[in-house]
Amino acid sequence: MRCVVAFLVVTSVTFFKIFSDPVMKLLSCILFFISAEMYSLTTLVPMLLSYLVILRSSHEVMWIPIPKEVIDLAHRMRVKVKKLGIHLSLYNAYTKGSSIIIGKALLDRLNVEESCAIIAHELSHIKRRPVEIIIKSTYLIPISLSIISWTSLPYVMFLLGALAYMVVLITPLNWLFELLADIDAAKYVGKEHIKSALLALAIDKRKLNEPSETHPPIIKRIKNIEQLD
Amino acid sequence: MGKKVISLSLSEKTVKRLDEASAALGMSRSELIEYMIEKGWHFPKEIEDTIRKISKLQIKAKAKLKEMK
Repeated sequence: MRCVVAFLVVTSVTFFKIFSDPVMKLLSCILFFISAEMYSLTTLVPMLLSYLVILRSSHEVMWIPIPKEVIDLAHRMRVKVKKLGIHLSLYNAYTKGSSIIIGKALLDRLNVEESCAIIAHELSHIKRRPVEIIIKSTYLIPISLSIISWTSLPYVMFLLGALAYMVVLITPLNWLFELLADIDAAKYVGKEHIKSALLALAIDKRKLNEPSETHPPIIKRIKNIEQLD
Repeated sequence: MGKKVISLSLSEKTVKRLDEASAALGMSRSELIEYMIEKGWHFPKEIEDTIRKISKLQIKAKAKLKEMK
């Protein structure tokens, strides 16, 4: 749904740029305002809010000594992990540089092996980060150059259109690195553990099939793991 | 052999952050590590020993507080 809305934003901006006929320009404008409003409500606002929550609650992270299981896992994956933090109000895990932060609520729900699977997923992101940065920047430079021609458009249209365009095009790469991280977690900790950890991540089971710009749907991720030998 | 005394100084900001995190979690760092050990995580021996000692001291302190009440 969110990808469709982003696609509509990009289409309306492109139509506005291409067509010189006033009627078509007006129609593109109407399509832009409807899709841009939907895009802001479904994507931009939730995205900004989630970043704000993480930023505002950074003091809720308690850094702890790294457990033996994580040291061993990082050693096997040949990744250097700097710190391990426990976050109070987060039901997820993320990386910050070479540090891993995992939500306490998630730790409560998962056993050691499942938690290790989540940590292995994050370690994979740390390991692949240099490659990820190179690929994403190589991919984004030509896109940014093509967007330069949009600068003559009205300010709001340019800004939202460029953002939606970048997000739509970067989504497959984000998904690819997520799937690769899942494969690493399955390889180093075990298929069953990462599968049950992923299932636990979806508090609302209706969201199992819901993709985002950064992550593929959990069902797709589980199928991807099941396909492994 | 004489004991080595190591002192650590933390900035006010760090102490404040640690306090905020402890308050938010409703548990201290040692309690959090203890909780993880109970869940099945393993830490280096010296950390586990220290946690056990802190835990005993906390139990004693709680008992004393109860007596005082």
